[in-house]
Amino acid sequence: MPKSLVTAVALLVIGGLCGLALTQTHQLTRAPIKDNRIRQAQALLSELLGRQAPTDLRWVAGVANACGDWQFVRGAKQGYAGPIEYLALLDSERMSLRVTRHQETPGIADFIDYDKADYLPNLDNSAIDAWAQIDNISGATITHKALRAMAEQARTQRRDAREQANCEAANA
Amino acid sequence: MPNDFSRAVIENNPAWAQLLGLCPLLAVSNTVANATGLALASAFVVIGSNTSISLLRRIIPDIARLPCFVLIIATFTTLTVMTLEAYAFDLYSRIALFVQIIVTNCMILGRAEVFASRQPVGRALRDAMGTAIGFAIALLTLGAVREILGQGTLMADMDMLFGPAAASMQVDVFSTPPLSLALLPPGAFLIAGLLFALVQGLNNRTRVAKDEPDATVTTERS
Repeated sequence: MPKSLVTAVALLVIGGLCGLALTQTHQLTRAPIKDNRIRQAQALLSELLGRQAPTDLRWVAGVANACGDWQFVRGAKQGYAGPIEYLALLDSERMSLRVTRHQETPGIADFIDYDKADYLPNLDNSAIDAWAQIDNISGATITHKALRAMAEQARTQRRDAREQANCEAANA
Repeated sequence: MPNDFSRAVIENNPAWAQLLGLCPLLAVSNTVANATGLALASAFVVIGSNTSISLLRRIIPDIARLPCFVLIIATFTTLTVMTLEAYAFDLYSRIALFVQIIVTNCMILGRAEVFASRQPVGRALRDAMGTAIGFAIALLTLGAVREILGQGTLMADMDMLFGPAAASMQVDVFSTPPLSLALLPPGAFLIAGLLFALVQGLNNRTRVAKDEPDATVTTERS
């Protein structure tokens, strides 16, 4: 048998064994991982809302509770090292925001991690216009540009969702 | 052959003798709980990957051995990440990044290339266990010193790893932490440097003590 064929078969066997181990473990851990992620998301929603968040929220185009008194908006904006994902609570013209996932430089952009710094929690319930004008911190100007863009995006997304759901007619 | 284990733990200790795997070692050793989590994760990966590589050593093509080693190590790392995310989610949230980079830990790749790929399973397993325990000793020692100095406690938050019953393992050593710097990266470098110097000093003293009788004999003969 040619040596290259032996090499190819060996690689296939090794790759197959690794793939099998991964798929089996994925099957075993999928359910508890999903439960953990839901629990974490629910805890974050409740923290933003200041009370137990409803468990039956319906998300349409990244907006939950579009026709209610408050809305959750989730989205992403480009940061320095990739997309920064966020979750915002919009209550009339006020907004609270948490970054849920990012790849910004550790040490420089730690201030957007709500579990490491109080920067974002301290801005809770600020006016959306104030969010859109927050000052830069030296060294993290692109991250701040993303935060300002998130405020604009969340407001636009909420407006679009409310129009789509025809909230005025629904509330009338 | 029987001393593969002890040689891997002491003489070839990945942390203080070879200075390998320092990135996760310094980053995650701020508490005993975090250090224990990383030690268990690293142990699973190094033992699993080295044993597998030793088992598969006759079919791993020499020309592609490094990609194969990395694939096997990455598989074990991913299994660890999935298991942690499923069953120790709080700990996973704190140390996930450093568990994921176990895949690039040169300590594990080094043992695979130098030892496991050339030795039978028994020897590879003993060497992997020695490497894992040596790394764990370094991690836990550093974690304990940093937690006591920086936080004033020992074994806090162990419930993240071993369930609610383990919360009682916490020991309050100081009411006010004597050196908060110990929890920060500069503190990690300083304390690791001092600990490694201490181990090196003890090793040198042991070596001198072993050499002295020989020196006496030589003098008498001459």
